[in-house]
Formats: sequence, C-alpha cells, structure tokens
Amino acid sequence: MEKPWAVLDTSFWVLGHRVDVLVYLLRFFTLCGPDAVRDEVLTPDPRYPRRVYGYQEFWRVLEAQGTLAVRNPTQRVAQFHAGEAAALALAQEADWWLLINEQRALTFARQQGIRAVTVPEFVVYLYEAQVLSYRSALAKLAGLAANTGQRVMQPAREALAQLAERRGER
Amino acid sequence: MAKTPQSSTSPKRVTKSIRMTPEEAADLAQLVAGTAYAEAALLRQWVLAGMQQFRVAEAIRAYQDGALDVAQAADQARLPVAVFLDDLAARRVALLEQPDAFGPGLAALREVFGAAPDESAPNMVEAHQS
Repeated sequence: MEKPWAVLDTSFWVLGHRVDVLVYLLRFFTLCGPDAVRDEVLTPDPRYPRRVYGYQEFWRVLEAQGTLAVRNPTQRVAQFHAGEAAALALAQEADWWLLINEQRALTFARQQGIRAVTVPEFVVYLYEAQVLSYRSALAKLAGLAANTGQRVMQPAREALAQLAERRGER
Repeated sequence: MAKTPQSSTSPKRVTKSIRMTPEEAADLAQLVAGTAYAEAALLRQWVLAGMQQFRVAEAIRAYQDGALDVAQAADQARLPVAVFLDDLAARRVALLEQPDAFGPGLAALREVFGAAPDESAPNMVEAHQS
C-alpha cells in the first residue's frame, strides 16, 4: 500500500518528540508540513539563540533525508494562527491526514471531517499494531499525562489496558 | 582608530530605582562581591530575566484561562510557537482536554492500517465513547 500523506502541525511535532514517537510516523505516512509550521518549529529560542532543540534537529534531519516535504495550501483557515491555519487548510484541500495535538484546532478539524490524529491516539495505535510493547506505550502515555486532560487520558489508558489484557500482557 | 562616541552606539537608558532593606542590600553586596560584574549590571540582567519569566508565566495563565490561543500566548511571551508549546509541556499545561481528543483518530488508524490480528474483540474506544 502506498503510504498516505499526513500534514504535521507544530503541536504534534513538539509533543510527539517529547515522548519519542515521531520516528514511527514514517512507517505509516508520507510526511509533509507547510512553510508556516516549518518556521514555527525551526525558529530559534530568543532566550538561547545558539540552542538547538531535539525537535528542531529531527525536523532538519528528516528534511535533509527527503522524508519530510514542505507542502503549502492555496488558502488558510482564517481563525487560526499561521501554522495551524496552513496545516488545517492543507489537510482539508488535499484530503490528507492531519497530525495535531492542540484542542481548539483539533476540534475544528474533526468538525470539518478531517482525519486528525493526536499523540495519545498514535501511542495507543502503536501498541495495537504491536510496534510498541505494553510497557513502552504505558510509559509514553505517562509522559503525556502532564499535558493531557483526564478526560483524554482515561480512555487512552483504558484502551491500552483492555488491549493488554486481551493479549495477556497485563 | 577614532573612538565612536558612546551615544551613537548604546541605546539611551533610563534609571529605575528600588528600595531594599539593609539585610537585602547586604545580601546583594555579598552576591556581587564574588563576581567580576558591577552591581548595576547584574541587577539589570536579573530584572530582564525576571521580566521574561513573568511574561511567559502571564502568557501561560492567559492560555490556560482561554483568553489567548497558542499563537497569541506565544506572541505575548515573545517566544516562537514551538518553543512556547515546549514550555507549556514542561510546565505541565494540558493541550488536549476534551473527550473528542481520543477515539476518532485511533478508529481512523485502525480502518486504514488495520488492527492487530487479535483485535477482533469489540472496539473499546467506541464502546467507551458511547
């Protein structure tokens, strides 16, 4: 199967990097990001101009390898900031997946019928697809807990636990 | 080589003064004594660093209150969006809060890429949402 295209938003890239799942995206998707997202990711921290964060370096590595392309929409979604607006518009225009981890834009995307995936969903799917062990998936969900509300974490943990029980891994 | 006049290279500065207790002033003097910095230079550096920390804290508060979106809050914090998001994450601020943030994406992944062979049991995500 040809890998479907997925559009990256800055929120997925930063949070996904924190729990180390970005590299697994390449198993499933052909990745791209609009210029606006690229700028948001790569703009240096003005407090520490020489510092390069891991999520910035990984973006550059994938880009240099040709595994992360820049694609831009013809229009923007007006009510969102540059990166989200471009990512939402591109996913909508091209009918591509959207990788996003910020509530307001996610809700909008789902209302528009865009196939959007959050980091907790991706972590659980990686366990379901047997890419991650139960222990690893559990650790990654724990790493997301501080930035994810209880109403999201609870079903994520339950889904993971139920899968693990059926597999006899819990 | 002729010296460039100071006024043409440095921005104009204004004086701000603060009042300290004798204990605080002594503490400050002790801190400065072991360094190569002038007291005024260190005070200025601390004020600027504190201002930036306060700016970030206020932007995060406004984001959490829903008064600003991520980009507006990042702008207020004078940080790039990704750096601000990383700061939010480091400070344990929730980016996803609504129940719709878990479920539909997992179902879509299953639909397109398939579930593992042992996933013939009922869909737990949909069961949870219903």
